[in-house]
Amino acid sequence: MRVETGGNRLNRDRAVRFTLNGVSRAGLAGDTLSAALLADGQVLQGRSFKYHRPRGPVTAGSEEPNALFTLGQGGAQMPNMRGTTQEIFDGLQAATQNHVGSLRHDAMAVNDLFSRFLSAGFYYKTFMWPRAFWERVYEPIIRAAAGLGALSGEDSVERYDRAWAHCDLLIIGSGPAGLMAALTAGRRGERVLLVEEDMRLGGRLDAESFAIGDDTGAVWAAGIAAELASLPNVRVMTRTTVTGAYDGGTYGAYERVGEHLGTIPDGAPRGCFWRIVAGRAILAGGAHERMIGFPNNDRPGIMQASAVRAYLHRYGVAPARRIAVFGNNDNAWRTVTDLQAAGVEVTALIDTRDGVTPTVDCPVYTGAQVVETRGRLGLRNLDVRDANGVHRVEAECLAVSGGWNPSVHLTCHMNGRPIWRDDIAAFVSVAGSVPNLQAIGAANGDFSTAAALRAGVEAGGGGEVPKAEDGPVNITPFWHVTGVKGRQWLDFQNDVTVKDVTLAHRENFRSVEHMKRYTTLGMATDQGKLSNVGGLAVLAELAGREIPDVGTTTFRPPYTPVPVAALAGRTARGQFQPHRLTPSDGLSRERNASFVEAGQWHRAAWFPEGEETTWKQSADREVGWVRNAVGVCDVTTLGKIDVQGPDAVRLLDLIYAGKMSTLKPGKVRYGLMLREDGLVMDDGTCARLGDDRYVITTTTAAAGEVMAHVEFCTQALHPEWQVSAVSVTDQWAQFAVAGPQSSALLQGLLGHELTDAEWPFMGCGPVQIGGVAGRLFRISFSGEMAYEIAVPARYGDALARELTARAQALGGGLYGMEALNILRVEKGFITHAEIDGRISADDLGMGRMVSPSKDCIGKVMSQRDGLHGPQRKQLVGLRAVGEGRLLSGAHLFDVGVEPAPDADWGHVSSACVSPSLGAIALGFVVNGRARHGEQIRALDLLRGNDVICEICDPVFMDPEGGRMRG
Amino acid sequence: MVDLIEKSAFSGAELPFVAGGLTLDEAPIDALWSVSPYAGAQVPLDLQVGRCGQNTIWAGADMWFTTQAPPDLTGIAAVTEQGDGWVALDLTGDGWGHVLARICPVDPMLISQGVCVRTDLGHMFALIIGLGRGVRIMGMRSFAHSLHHELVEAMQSQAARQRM
Repeated sequence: MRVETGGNRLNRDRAVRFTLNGVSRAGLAGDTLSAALLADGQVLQGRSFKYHRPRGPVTAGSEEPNALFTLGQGGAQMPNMRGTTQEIFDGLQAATQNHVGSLRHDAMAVNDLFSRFLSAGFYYKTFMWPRAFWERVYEPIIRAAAGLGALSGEDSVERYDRAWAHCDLLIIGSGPAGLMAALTAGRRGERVLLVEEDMRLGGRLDAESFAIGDDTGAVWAAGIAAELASLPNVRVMTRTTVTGAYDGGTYGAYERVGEHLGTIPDGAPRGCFWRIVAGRAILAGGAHERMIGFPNNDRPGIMQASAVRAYLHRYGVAPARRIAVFGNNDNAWRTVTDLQAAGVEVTALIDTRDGVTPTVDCPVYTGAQVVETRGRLGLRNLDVRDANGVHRVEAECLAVSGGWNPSVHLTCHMNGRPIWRDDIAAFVSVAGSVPNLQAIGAANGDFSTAAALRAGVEAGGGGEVPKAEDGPVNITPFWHVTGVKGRQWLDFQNDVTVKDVTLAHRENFRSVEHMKRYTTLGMATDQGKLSNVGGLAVLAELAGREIPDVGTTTFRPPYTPVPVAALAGRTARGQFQPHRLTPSDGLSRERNASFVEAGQWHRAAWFPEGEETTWKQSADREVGWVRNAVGVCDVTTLGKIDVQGPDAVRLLDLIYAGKMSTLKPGKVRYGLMLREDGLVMDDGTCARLGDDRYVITTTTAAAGEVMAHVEFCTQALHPEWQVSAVSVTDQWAQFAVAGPQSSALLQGLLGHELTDAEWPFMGCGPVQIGGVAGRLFRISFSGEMAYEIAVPARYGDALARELTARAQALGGGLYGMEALNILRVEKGFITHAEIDGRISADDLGMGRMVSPSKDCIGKVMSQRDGLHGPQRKQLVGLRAVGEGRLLSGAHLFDVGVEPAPDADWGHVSSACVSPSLGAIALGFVVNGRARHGEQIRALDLLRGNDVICEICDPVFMDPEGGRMRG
Repeated sequence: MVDLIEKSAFSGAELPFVAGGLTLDEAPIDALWSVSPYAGAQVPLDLQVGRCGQNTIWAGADMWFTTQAPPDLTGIAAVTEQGDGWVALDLTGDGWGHVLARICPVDPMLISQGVCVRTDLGHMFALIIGLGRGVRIMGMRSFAHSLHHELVEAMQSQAARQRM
C-alpha cells in the first residue's frame, strides 16, 4: 500500500499507466514495476521455477530472484527483467512468467505436490524408462517446462552500441563510499569515471533514514551529485552496471540507455556495452542483505528488511498493513522504527539472539526463530518459537535480515577467492585479487555510513569526512532453523532448499563445486547473490567444517545479465564483418551480378544476361566466352605485396619453396609457400619489376595470413636484412583479360602490338593506358592466352568499363567466380580447396618445385617420413562415369565394396559440370598418381550423392598448355 | 586514345555527413607514398614515430607516408605508391571523441594535433591522425563504404543520445 511519507524518488503528481498481463495498471513516476504493484497491494509477482510456488519480490534491487517479468512484445520482447529495477513508463507492457493459466491459478503448481520426486538431480534418477520415451515424451515435456521467461523468436528490433571509456580512476558504485571517493579524487583533478547501477547517485542513502550532517541521505547525495556534475574531469554514468573485471585494468559494463523509456529517438541504442580502461579502480558496490532459512520462507511478502526500508523511503510503499521483522543483527531493528514512523503496524520483532535488548516499541521475541508461515498467495501469519513455546504472529509481510554479504564478485573475476571474517560473518575480498582494484565501504565489510564515507575519502586521496552514524556490526550467525519440518529455501530462483543441499551431501557431492552443479544452487540469473553463503553454511554444517574451509565457487562475469545483442553492438547482421568492394563493384551491380563472399571481399559470381534464369546458364556462357573469344574478370582481391630492397631476393628464396633468385626483371614465376611444418600454406606468383623490386600475389582469403608471415620473417627471423614488404592490394585495380582474342583486345586498348618477344608467357612490365601508368602481366589462370592488367585503383571503374565494352565488341564480356572455377578445374589449377592445410607439395605433384639447392621455410619438415610416397593422398582428376555429377566433399571408396571409415581412399576437393567435358572434379586419392584409369566411387551420404568416376590426370584439357603459351 | 576517369572510393556515400554538431567529410588523397627505411638506413625526410612530420605521417612499424614525391631513396628505403590504396575521412566538431569511442579503442584524449595512431576501427585497421578540431581517419580503399557506414552510424547514435 502507498503511505504518505517517504517516496523520495516519486513525483506524486504524475501517474504512469502500464499494462500487466494485458490489464491496465497505474503507478507514479519514479516507481519501479514491483514498487507500483506493491503500492497497489499486489505482492504476488511470479511463480517459482520448479515447483511453481507463488512468489513476490524479495529485494528492491538487481539481486532480485523472484519478481521477474517479460517486457514488450515481438522483436522488442525481453524476458527475465527484474521488476525491482525496471522503471515504469507510459505504455510499458509487462507480463508475469512461468505459469500455465493465470498467475493466481497456475496449473503447473501441481509440481509442488510432487516435490518429493523433483528434488535436486531428479533427472538423473527418473525418466529412464522406457528408453524410447526419452526423446519422444520426456524431453519435450521437460523442455517446455524448463526456463523462466521466453524469447519471442522474432528478430530483435533494437539496436545496441558498444563503446570504450578511459579514465585514471574508475569508481564502481555511488553510495557514501563511492561518492566521497569520486568527490575527493575529482576535486584533486584526477580523471574520474563514476559508474552507478541505479538511476541516480547515492546507493542506499535514499533507502535509509540515516542523516549525513544535517541533511537526509538523499538530499546529501543529490548535493554531491551536483558538484560532481560541475567538475569537467569527472564523468558520471548512471543506469550502468559494471559486469566484469578483465585484464589490463579493463572492465565491462552494461548501460541501460533506453530501457526506462517508452520511445527512444531514431538511431539511439537501447543499451550500450562499455569497455572501460582504468588506471586504477575502486569497488564501492555495497553489500546484499542475506535471508534466513525457515519452513516456507519463500511466500510472497517475505523480503529483505533492507528492501522493506527501501520501498518505504524511495517509493512511499509498505508491502502490507502489518509487518513483522526477523533478524540476527542490530541493523534489522531500524526497520521497526522506520515503519512505525510511517504509520505502519509492526506486529513483532523476532531476534535469534539471546540477551539482546532492542530499542523498539513493539512485541519482541529474543532467542527466537520463525518455524512456520502460512498463506498460499501471500503471507498471512507465522509461528515463532522461543524458550516459552510457539506463538502465532499476524503479518502479511516479514522483513528478514540474516546479515550482509559484501559484493565481492568483481574482485574474484580473475580466479581470486574471498576470505571469511568471523566478526561480520561474511566474505570479503583479498587485496590485489584484481590488480589495481580496491574494495571499500560495505563492499569491504565496513557497514556503517561513517566508515563508508571515511573509506571513500581515503581512497580518493584524503580530506575531510562528513559526520554520519557509525553503528557497530552486532551479528550472531544464524543460517537456518533446525528441529522443524518443512522445506526451507536457499535459492529462490532455482527452487533449491536446505533439503536439496543435504541430499547432495548424502549422495557424496560434497565439494562446493559439486553441490552447486548437483543442486543448481546459485546458477540462475541472480547467480546466487542471496543464496551462495547460505548454501555454504549448510554444507559446512553437514561436513562438520567451518565456512571458510568449504570455500566458494568461482565468480564469473557478467555480474548481472547482459543482452547478447549488446555484446555484438552494431557488428551484427549485415555488419558482422566489414565489406570489401572491388573497383568493378558498381559495374557488376549495374549488370545484376550475384555475389560471393571471399573473406571480406564481395566478388561477382556470375552476370545474368537475356533469358538466363540459372547461374549455370550464365557460367556456361561465360566459360564459352573465355575459351572462344575473350573474358574480363576483376582479380583485384588477390593479395599483392610489394617487396623491395637489396635483400629482397633472399627473403623471397626463404619464403618460396622454389628458387626466386634466378628470376629476371620483367618475368613472373609461379611459386609455393610452405608452412614451418612443411605443408603448403599458399600458392601464387612472384613478378620481378626491377632490380630490387618484386610484387608477389597471394590467394584472396590468405592475403592477411601471408602478409603476417612475411612480416614475421622480416621482423623476427631476419631483422638485419635490408628488405621491406608492404601491401598494395588496394592500390592496384587488376583485371584478367583471357581468351583467344585477349591480345587483340589489349592491343586495341594500348594502341600497340603485344608481340611474343616483348611480352612472352610469364612476362611483365609497365604500360600506358592513355595517360595512366599501369602494369601488364602475361599470366593465365584459365588456361587460355591471357593477361592481367593493373592500374591505380582510382581508375579501376573506368578501366573495367573500357575492357568490358571492348570484350563485348569481340564477342565476349565479363565473367565471374563460377565461370572462373569451371575454367580452372578444367585445367587442373589448384586453389585453397586443394591447399586445405593438410597437403604437401608432393601431394600436389609439385614436389620438384621445392628447390633442392636452397633452404626455405618448411623445407626440412617437408622431407619428413610420412609426407611422401604411395600412402599419401595425391592430387588427381576425377571424371564421372555415366550419369550424375560429383560434389566436393564426397569421399572416395572402392567400387562394389561396403564403404567403411578404414576403406576411405580420399575425397573430392573441387567439382563442377564443365560445358564441354561434363561432370569432372579434382580430388585426392591414396597413391592417386599410380591409379589413373581406375574407377572409384564418390559417396556423399549427407547429400545423397553416389557416383562412379574414373581417376585421371588433373589437367583435363590442353595438357601441354599450348593455348596459354602461344 | 583511351581516357580513363578517376572515381572516388566514396562515390555513392553521403558526404559530407552532418549530425549532432559533427561533420564527416572526405579528405581526398591526391598522391601518397609509403617510405620504409631499410635496417640501419638514414632517410633524408622528417620521420617521427607516432607523429606527423613535415609532409610525413607515421603509418606503423618502420613505415611512414609522405604526401610529396620522395627523392630517390634506392638502397635506403622501400618506396611504394599508396595514393589509391588508402582513403581518408575527416571527423570534426565538438565531441568527436564520443563518436570515435564507439568504434575505436584508443583514448581520444591521446589523439591531439599531429599524433598518429595505428589502430582498429570497427574490425578494420585504420590510421588516425589528430587534427586538433577532430581526427583524420585513414583506411584501405576497399573498406571505404564500411568505414563510412560505421562512422555515420556512430554519429547518428551519439546525436540521438544527445536528444534523450
